[in-house]
Amino acid sequence: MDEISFRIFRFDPSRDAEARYQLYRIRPEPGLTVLSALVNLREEQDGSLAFRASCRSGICGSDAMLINGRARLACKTQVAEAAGDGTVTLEPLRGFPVLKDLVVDQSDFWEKLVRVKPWLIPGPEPAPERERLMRLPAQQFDELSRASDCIFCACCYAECPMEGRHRAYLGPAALVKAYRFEADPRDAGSAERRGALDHPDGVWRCHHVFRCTEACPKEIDAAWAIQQLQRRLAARHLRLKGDA
Amino acid sequence: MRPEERDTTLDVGGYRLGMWSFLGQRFTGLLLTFYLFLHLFIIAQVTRAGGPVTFSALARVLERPPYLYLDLGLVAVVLFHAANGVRLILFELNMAARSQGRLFWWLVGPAGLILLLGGAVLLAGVR
Ligand code: FES
Repeated sequence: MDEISFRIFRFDPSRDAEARYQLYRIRPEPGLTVLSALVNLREEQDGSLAFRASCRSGICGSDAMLINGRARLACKTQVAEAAGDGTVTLEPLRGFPVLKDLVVDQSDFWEKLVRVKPWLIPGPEPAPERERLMRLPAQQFDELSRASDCIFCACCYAECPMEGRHRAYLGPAALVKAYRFEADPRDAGSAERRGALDHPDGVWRCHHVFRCTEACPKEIDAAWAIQQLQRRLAARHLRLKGDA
Repeated sequence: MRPEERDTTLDVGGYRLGMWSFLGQRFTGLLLTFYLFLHLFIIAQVTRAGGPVTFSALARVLERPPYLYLDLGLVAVVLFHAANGVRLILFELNMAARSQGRLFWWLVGPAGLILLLGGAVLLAGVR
């Protein structure tokens, strides 16, 4: 493949007054991912380049960034595909404060996740003396396991225009996790999650733009999961269901 | 909950179908709100002194091009807002969980057809 350019967002708060873009030229081998290209760049051309990554195989979710303006995992994006017109533009995820170059501060994102209590909250029945078996029918498990596939890369969060306008919005990732447990028949935590979910900055902030669904590298239908939460709460408000 | 196959028809300028339909819904909503006030303002002319005469004169002007074309534009705005609105309602009612993208075309398409047919009839009547 011919030489291509990487146009990379650079910002070091300790030295730069303003962000800038730096151009790098590389000659990619076939099969090169954007992440491998970044690693090569850092090793061979510019040791000061900052980015996050760990697993290099789409499992840890640390290397989400804007690739040509769209939130994607660098390790799951081929350079050949991204460099359509000979240039790949890399920028930090939208909607997060930039720490350095492509590294952003995700504190808000994690804090919102904790707010929906993304863990199984058992019912009031007393804890058994020996271990408790909590089995799920296989089909129900399949459904929930889709939502469990989330790797917290924050691609959906960075793509959501509602999140862009309302910083307090919980965002699709936290809501997918909330759905994962709300839809679990073994969970009895609805009442505890209601404060965060049934709130203008909870499920009701979603306006079905579907950018989360389109962005998810794990192919989770995040917009659908949010809509399921909306339905559950609407049914509750309309008293169509008991204390669901 | 795997998403439906992604529709790439509207991948234009960095936005995709969902974003265009969202922006379209907002934009047409604003236009309709603005139009409502315009509509009330013009209708209200009847109640002013000498109003009926002014109103009839005004109505005659508004019935012909170029205002007629604006009227057609209004119909287009209403049709889009209504068709996409039905899509969103169906999605909210869980009746289009896996087809919201396709549904966009199934509803906005016929709406466009209605616009074309209705427009042709309307314009033929003016000549
Ligand atoms: S490096 Fe782990 S998901 Fe890309």
